[in-house]
Amino acid sequence: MKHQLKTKVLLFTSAVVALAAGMSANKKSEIETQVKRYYDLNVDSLNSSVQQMQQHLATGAGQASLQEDFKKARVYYKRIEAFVEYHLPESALKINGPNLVESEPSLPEEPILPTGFQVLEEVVYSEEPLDRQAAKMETDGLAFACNRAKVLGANIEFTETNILDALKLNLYRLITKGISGFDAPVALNSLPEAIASLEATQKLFNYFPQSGELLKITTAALQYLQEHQGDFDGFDRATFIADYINPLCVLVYDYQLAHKIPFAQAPNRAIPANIPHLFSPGAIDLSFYAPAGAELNSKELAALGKILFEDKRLSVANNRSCATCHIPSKAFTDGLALNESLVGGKKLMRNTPSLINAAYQPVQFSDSRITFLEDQVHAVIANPEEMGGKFEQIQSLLAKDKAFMKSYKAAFSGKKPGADEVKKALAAYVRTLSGFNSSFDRFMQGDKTAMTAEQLNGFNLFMGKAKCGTCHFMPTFTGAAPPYYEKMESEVLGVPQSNDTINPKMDLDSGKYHVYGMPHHLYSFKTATVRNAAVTAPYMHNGSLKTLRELIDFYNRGGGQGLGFELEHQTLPGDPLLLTEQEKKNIEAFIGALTDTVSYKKIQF
Amino acid sequence: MKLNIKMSVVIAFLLTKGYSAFTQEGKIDCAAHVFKTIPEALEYKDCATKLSMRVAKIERVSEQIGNLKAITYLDLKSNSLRELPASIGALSKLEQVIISENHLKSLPETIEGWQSVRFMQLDNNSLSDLPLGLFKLKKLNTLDLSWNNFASLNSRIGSLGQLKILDLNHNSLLVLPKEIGKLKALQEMDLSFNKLKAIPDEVIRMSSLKRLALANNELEQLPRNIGKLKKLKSIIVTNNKLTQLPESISALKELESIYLSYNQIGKLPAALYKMSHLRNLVLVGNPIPAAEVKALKQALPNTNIVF
Ligand code: HEC
Ligand code: HEC
Repeated sequence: MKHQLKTKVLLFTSAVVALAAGMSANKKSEIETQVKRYYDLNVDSLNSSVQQMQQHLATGAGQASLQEDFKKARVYYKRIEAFVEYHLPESALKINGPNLVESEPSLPEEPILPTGFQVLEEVVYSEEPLDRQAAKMETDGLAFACNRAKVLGANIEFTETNILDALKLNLYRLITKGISGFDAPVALNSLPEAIASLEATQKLFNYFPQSGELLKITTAALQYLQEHQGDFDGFDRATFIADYINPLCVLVYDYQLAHKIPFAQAPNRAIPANIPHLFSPGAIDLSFYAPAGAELNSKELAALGKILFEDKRLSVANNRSCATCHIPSKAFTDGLALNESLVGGKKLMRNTPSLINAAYQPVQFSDSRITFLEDQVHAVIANPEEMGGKFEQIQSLLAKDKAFMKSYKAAFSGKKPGADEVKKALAAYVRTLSGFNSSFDRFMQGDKTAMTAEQLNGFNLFMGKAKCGTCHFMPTFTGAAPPYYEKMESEVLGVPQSNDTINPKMDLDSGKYHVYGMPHHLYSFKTATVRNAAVTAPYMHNGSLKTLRELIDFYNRGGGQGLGFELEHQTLPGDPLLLTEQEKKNIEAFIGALTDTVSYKKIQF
Repeated sequence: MKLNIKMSVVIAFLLTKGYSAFTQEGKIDCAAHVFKTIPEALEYKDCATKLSMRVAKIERVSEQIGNLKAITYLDLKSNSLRELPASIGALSKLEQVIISENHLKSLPETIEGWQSVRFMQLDNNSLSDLPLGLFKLKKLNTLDLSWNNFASLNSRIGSLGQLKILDLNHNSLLVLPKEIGKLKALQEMDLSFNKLKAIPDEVIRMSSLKRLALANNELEQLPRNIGKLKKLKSIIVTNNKLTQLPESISALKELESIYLSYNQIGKLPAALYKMSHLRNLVLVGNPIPAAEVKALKQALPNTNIVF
């Protein structure tokens, strides 16, 4: 008896000692504990709601009731989405990844089938009679993934820093993907889901002391959403973002500064944690897209690059420079559908893209075959069809040029220009070609007069009814997927050979398939930027569409499928968009608000 | 009573945190034991040397790993990692690192701290670049970067003077930096399945090279002075666009095997007829006249010639 008591006391004291030691080593704030509890509760609810769906399915429930279950489960997911995406990216992909086939490079022919809500959605919301077998399989898959978020979730180490970081990234996710219908394309339940997501944000902010300002604007944003949730097509996204979400992001930023909560250290992220909001000037960290050791702030290097960019000695017959095709006065395009090949009197295979903002892409070329600008430069110079240059020859030509060598010596310490240095300099120059000060950017930074009513309506269509924003993600308007912007999506649109809509023929360029040999990449192309599109006609990888109007009509028809091509794996939905004449005009007007071909000229070097 | 409930909560908390006072049953031999989780290893944080979370379904590595200062062996193979925590650079005793089959897009700059590392397996990830810190790992002798996304290599690769094995097969390399020639200790270099059109001449300075694999590239020729690679035992150039072999090849007295299948070689160098030390010569898929093959077989009766 006595003995037992003694052990208890001993246990008690050592527990206290250990606790004290544990506390000092790993101090958990009240906030962190509460957030952990919040996660645990909601991941449990998510799991039971998916289990309930399994049960209903087993007992013969009909489509309508399953759709209700589906919506409910998604709402639970939206409550913890910020954390699942942040801490368990693979689980997030399995729970709510896009409904697209993938493969590992090591097994290109082996499809990895998508799982999760978005696949299930297609089954449950299908217009055909419910395929119970498929529904069961997908629900089981979802249940498995949700359970994983629970099991692995138990090990998440919440900190005030990563909680706020995750919430802010989730706000970016909300405005870039959430309200565009990206992850609920069929159910079109995006706005009610946005409410669930913001309510969760509100609840989580509530755990933070003195967060009154944050709560106030979140409540206002919620109110705005609640008033308009029934009208997906008419929802004024521009106002929602500029008046509510951007200011909310700024307040989170201010809160962190005021309460000395350090910003997450995220050296490997395109959008750093310590910026006010997604559209703040300089929000994208260019070094994220550059190789280690690239010099991003060397004026001398960029100046040398500019000289090289215009130097015809880089080509085999000294008759072509980069600027021959990427003409600065044409926003670094050439205005042609296809430029001339140097070989055999042919045309080049692809349309010349603009270089403005090219450096802000995780991959280069429309088949995504290259990561870094440095390597892209090599590919172009060495390509016999484009420039056909030989680096040894170029080096000796340049080394003899006194004026050139002066600029060279300002940038490098070597005696004569090496191939590596030529590439570095050209890449450095292309990295100065940015254009993020369009009317649209100014609007998002608070200048409410920067866009016209037509442009604003065009933006809302772009982000809603016309579905453009589900592929062209803000703020780059490329396929670089938010909120990490590290993966570039490619899509199968069914681009025609020409703008002939009477007898359309499909373009047979195999696209990304050519690079990786993965069947689902056949005819897929990098989602190119819409920025500056108003001044970079003609369009698409083959320059087949001559005007923005033709391009919008192409999408309005449902892409290649709309033109009658049998293209089973087209990733652009094949249904017509049913845009009115005025709506088409407004989208075109909005694209005009993305033009900035002048900012780069102001960079001095 | 109230206190009691609090106590059990405290104890449960401590138990889940794995505090040694409560869970340490038998003694564990730190030198031999392979820990399976970070919390488990943290109980022995000053002595745990081996940590294997192979096929553990993890998506993130806890920053806590940085506290396991005694770790020499780390195996994270076959998980779903996209990044590593910066704190991992604190493992200055690490000798062997296996992070194959994940989704890594980059490595933290802090790995410069792995000053004891000898062996690194990073195959089957999504790497296209290496942090500069990696080039300061002076003890590194094996680097496996196969099945990644490299289109080029940082010229600092030349500073890895101890490197013996470099595996870059299945990437998208377009060029090699000439600095690669500085790898004087390199014995095996696998560059198969890339997009190389040429090999820099500097390669001939790799005086320890025994095995050179260049299969499935777009090579039109081999370095003219390849004969300088005196230690070379095998050359694999299957599936390229070679039209001839350099004469200097006959200077390679240690050479045992040449794999030349599926190139466009029409004529073999005369010097080849004297390379009686060759064990294997594979010529399938080249436009070489049958008579020439016959003559070669006569000249090299001890060589296994496949045509
Ligand atoms: C003969 C015309 C021509 C010349 C000369 C030329 N380019 Fe290009 N450039 C193109 C075409 C066509 C593409 C698209 C190729 C593709 O997507 O497959 C392209 C693509 C690019 C891209 C990728 C952009 C993106 O968004 O994917 C960059 C960067 C680039 N070029 C830079 C340069 C530089 C630097 C030079 C000079 C060293 C140069 N180009 C010379 C025609 C040219
Ligand atoms: C399914 C994804 C998807 C959707 C939806 C989508 N796009 Fe695209 N967009 C792409 C891809 C992929 C390309 C590149 C196609 C190519 O190069 O062949 C592209 C190219 C463009 C370009 C041409 C860029 C250039 O310089 O050639 C513009 C402009 C554009 N899209 C605007 C729009 C508009 C406007 C909408 C909505 C009406 C829209 N996109 C909807 C994927 C999409």
